[in-house]
Amino acid sequence: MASNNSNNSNNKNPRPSRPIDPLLQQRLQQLSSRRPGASLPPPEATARPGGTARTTAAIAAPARPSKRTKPARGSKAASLALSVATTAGLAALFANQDTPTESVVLTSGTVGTTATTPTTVAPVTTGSAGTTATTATTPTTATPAPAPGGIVDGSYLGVGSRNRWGTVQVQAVYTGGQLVDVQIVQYPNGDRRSLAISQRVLPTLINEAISVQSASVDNVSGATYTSRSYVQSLQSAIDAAKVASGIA
Amino acid sequence: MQFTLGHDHVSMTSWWWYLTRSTGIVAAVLSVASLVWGLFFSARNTGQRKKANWWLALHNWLGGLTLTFIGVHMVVSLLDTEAGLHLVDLFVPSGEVGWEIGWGVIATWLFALVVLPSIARIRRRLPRKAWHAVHLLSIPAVVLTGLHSFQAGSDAASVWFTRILAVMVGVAVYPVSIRLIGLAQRRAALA
Repeated sequence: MASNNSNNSNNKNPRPSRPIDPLLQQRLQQLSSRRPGASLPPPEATARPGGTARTTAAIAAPARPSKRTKPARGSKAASLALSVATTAGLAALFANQDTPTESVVLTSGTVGTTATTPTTVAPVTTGSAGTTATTATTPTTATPAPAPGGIVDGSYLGVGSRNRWGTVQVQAVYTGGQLVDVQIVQYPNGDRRSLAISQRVLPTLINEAISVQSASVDNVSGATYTSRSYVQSLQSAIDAAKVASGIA
Repeated sequence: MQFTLGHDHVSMTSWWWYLTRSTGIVAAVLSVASLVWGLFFSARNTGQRKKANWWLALHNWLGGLTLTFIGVHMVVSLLDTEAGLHLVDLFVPSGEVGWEIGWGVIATWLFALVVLPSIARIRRRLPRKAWHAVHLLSIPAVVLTGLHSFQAGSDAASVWFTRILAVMVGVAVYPVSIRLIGLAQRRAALA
């Protein structure tokens, strides 16, 4: 009897259902349309009249963000913190690895009248004097033919000048006291962009150096670092040539 | 003979370059993570420990974070004057600055197309098939990201970069394979 009474009370005052999220309802409808014969109970958007006080209070009270409405909050915060920390850490690591850009690192190279054979990448060279070499050529140890007050014929290797993209090292070739060719011993080619810039810029710089017979060439737009390092290395090669020739 | 200036003389230009590299790396990793999360969720291969809404929420978050870091990467690369990029180069791919930059620009547009329509307010107005077709552009976007980082990245020649790239490729290929296998099995079952 008591149980029947309790059952009757439950049927008279059924527990009101929570409103179904519209997106979830849409998804359920899509799933049911794929299964023939399936049917969904009609949604109960509002509580029935005569509901309990608890339902009224629940509707009146603002919904607190629960785990269901704000899932993965901790994971989101963790991923954001990890991303920012990794960015900062990598930047600090790169700064620690690299030398400052305004100071170009000069590494010692063999400087003298008889230059060593280039051992690195094939140089990109063109010369207005007619020497067009696309592969590394062994520098000639020409018999010195000193022009009066001029630079002794020969090849003079400059120091390697390092920048953020790589190292530029050149070798100046003198014949008859004139700069006739500039061979590129090393150039930035660690990535495709650096390689493309080097191949575009270096022939221009070589031609200009030969035409002005010095390292006073203008920087090429979009290749400031490569131009600057080229000038540094070529100037050191010219200085070595002057020293070897006894020119102050 | 070797001489350098002290580390306290690192210029602001250099810091922009360091940030360009670091934000690019983080954005690439986030893009792969977002793709993997989305693929696991769509294949319902989410395991028992976390609920499906956790996977979906994190996938959405990672996608937005990817787009944010891509934006930061673009801004700092513009501030790095030595990189030689102009504002138009960040939005229009061209052969003038090189296609290694262009791939990154195209990947950015694809990510924007993938992430922005997935915002709830916009997504509700889109047909599901249209939204899904656009969302699949995330896969070529991630591929172009890898191509951009390999061709234009300053760290592309280093060993650790190559290894990380290989790991990311493996991590991305695995859920794609699971998804494709699941689709094939479902079609076979329906047939």
